Amino acid sequence: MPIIKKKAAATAAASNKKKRTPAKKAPAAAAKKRTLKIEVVKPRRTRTVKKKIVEVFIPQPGQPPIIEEQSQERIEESKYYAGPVIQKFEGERHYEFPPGYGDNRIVLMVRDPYWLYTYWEVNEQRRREIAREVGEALFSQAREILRVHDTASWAHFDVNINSGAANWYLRVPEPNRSYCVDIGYLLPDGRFVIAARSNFVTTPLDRMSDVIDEQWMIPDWEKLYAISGGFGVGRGSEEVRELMKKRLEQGLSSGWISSLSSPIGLRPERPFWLVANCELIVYGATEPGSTVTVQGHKINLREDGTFTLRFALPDGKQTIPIEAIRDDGQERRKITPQVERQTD
Amino acid sequence: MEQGYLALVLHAHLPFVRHPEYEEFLEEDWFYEAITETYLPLLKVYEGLVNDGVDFRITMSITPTLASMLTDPLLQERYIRHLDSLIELTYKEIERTRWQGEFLELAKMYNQSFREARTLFVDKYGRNLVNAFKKFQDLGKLEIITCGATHGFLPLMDINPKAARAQIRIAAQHYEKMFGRKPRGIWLPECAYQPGHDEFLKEVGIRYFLVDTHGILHGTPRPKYGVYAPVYCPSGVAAFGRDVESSKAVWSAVEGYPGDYNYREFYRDIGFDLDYDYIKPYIHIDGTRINTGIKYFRITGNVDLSQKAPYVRQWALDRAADHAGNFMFNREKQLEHLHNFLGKKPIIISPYDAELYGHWWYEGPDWLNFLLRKVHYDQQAIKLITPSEYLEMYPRNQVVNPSMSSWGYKGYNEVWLNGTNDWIYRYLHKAADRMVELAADYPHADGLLRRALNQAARELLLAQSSDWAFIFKTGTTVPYAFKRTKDHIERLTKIYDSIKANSIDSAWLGEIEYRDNIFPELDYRVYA
Repeated sequence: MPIIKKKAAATAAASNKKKRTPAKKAPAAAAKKRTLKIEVVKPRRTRTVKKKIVEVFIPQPGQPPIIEEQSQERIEESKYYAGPVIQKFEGERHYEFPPGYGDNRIVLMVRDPYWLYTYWEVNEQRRREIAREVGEALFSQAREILRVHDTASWAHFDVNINSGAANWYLRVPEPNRSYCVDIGYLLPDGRFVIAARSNFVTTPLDRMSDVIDEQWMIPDWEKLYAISGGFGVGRGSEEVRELMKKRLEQGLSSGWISSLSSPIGLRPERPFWLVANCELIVYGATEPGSTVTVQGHKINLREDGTFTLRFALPDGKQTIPIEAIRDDGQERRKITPQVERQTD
Repeated sequence: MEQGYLALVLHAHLPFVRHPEYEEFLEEDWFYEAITETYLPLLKVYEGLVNDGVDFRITMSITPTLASMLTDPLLQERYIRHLDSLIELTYKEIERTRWQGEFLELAKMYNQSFREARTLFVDKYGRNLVNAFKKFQDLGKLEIITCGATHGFLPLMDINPKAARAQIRIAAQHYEKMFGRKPRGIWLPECAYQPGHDEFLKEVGIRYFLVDTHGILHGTPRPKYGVYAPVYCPSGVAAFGRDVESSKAVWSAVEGYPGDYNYREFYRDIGFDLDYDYIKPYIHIDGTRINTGIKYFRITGNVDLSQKAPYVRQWALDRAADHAGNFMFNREKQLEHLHNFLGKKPIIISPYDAELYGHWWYEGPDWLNFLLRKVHYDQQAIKLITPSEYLEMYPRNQVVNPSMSSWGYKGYNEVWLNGTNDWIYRYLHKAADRMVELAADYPHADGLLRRALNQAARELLLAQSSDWAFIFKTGTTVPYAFKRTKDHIERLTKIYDSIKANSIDSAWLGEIEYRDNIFPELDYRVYA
């Protein structure tokens, strides 16, 4: 009977890495720090006594990505999730996005009822034009600003921007309004010179409409049938309105948004931990073409007659009869290792 | 007699990820996993229902990018390779777990499920799942709708309306080629609606689209029936709004079914759990540990991943049946209540990501199966319907301008426009402007120039996928999203410059056509 010696040499490893790169670190760490060795000695064989070392890998389960407040987003995210892996694309050509295109342009976009986003580029030609127009001396003292207009009343407010900025988030006072924005220069004498004017955008309502006139349509796609009628709104809507308001309030309380924040979130640090598992490898060889059974199940041999089997080893005693029968059925050999695992 | 209608809508989408230039490519796994865990299981549910004579209705968007991948011979071949490798692994797992009964059962379950997937994919459907889904549309059980050509976030390309319009037109053409008829409905990418875009839908004959709840509720004038009846945009295109209550039942992290402790845990995968040498042949080719799709644990509770308990299939199925019953009961009560309150039969629109079913919520397809059977046999109050069936029956609806909205977090455009991704729009907008400029400058191109112009359009479309902005936001696989944005912008820029310089590199263009081979029938004049 084989003798099983168990030498537990599992060393605990504290992980204080923020991110793990499983390909490289995990196996190395497993070999170095978390190896449990089992020696299986088989005295009855005429062949050389074999020792098999079973390495036990301690799993670090896949870390979920950053948990979003909104579960829908987290679920959608799982679609793009094959594991906590940061893929590198080595050997690919380097391409830099240009800082600009030499255009003179400002673009305005809607983020939500209260926030707009704008990006711009003022080219050298336009700058020189303006400098000529107002005079170099005055222009050198000018401040680059954004002027946001309500396009219904042409009321406006100014936003100071950091020098070198090329995009900005704009808080606007009221939902359901149309806006445009100018990038330009505020001169010391109070005059404002426009470098570029944006497109017009309209922000959405953040609540139910005050308009209660009803129109009805039967869609033969051309005709409109307008009728008048009573007023009523599904009960669910009030709840939804509250929900929407909350969503927006969360958005607004987050304050000014930086365009510079890192796209890669940090993963939470793990506390000290240890897991140990145990697996048993049974391997051997016989004449190619023979039939081999292990615990009564026929197994597949490699072409050269070798085989390897691997078992998760639970606590308790396992008897593993291994039997080979030559392809002509004339000869048989049998080996029966017994393995016992005990966790204290 | 029914109290009202229920329209279940599944949005099936993946971005176009296909890299013939690599032997294996990690992000292609999104697609393979979705086939095994979502698309095939859904087809299996539909097959079973039809075989058993259970009448049902499901509305399903299959995006043009997904349909393109499902019909791509290279990806079909690679999927089989992927599946064969998994099957081999499950055989080893059956051996390895021989003395661990609870895992052995699961290893056998995966083995059977992967082998069945192979039979379905190869033998039954001849590798073409678009045709497989089409069959159920032709039977009248499934209504397949389209989406933006590459799932571009339309409100954020509004600065150049031709770009948004092209997303719709190319999608409609592609749908017709795939499904042999015009699309009746559309899932606007991320349910993102910009007032005025309904005109683009009307141009291609699309009758309806879906919006989030507040898209209808904040519409002007006030919608008389809230989200429980569709509204018409002034163009005559209908908008259906999402029902909050039925949405929360499935989506919510707190109250949602998929969080049940008996369901399978998504984040424990043997790709990470098992010994490196053993699992190495089944993970990424460069040795990076990735998910294999073989997962042995249940959610268990609010515990650390290492403390999860083994998955018990029967318990999970029992819970799926309970949850289906619960969902049905709640919809019955909801419809009765709404019917009394509104004085007319309401329609409840319940839209979900298709990949939620199976991929994220492993038991989701079983839940759907139980639900559709229960609805057929066990009750009277709910009638399943598709939006276009509803419009046939109830053509008279209120005229309301829906509000700008999306179904993303906070309800507007912020998920796709924030500090992590706002920088892309400068390049996307410029790329769209250049495409429109090219289409205007060369209205009758042919030969090499025509090929270059068509490819420029493909590059623009691929760069516009909202998936990249979403990934920048969530931080899951940022280098890949960056690579894709960069590659397509760079390629379009190179084509633009070479057309302008009259020096198109035919060999290089051929390579790019081979890599980014989506929409082979595309005509660049869609940007004219």
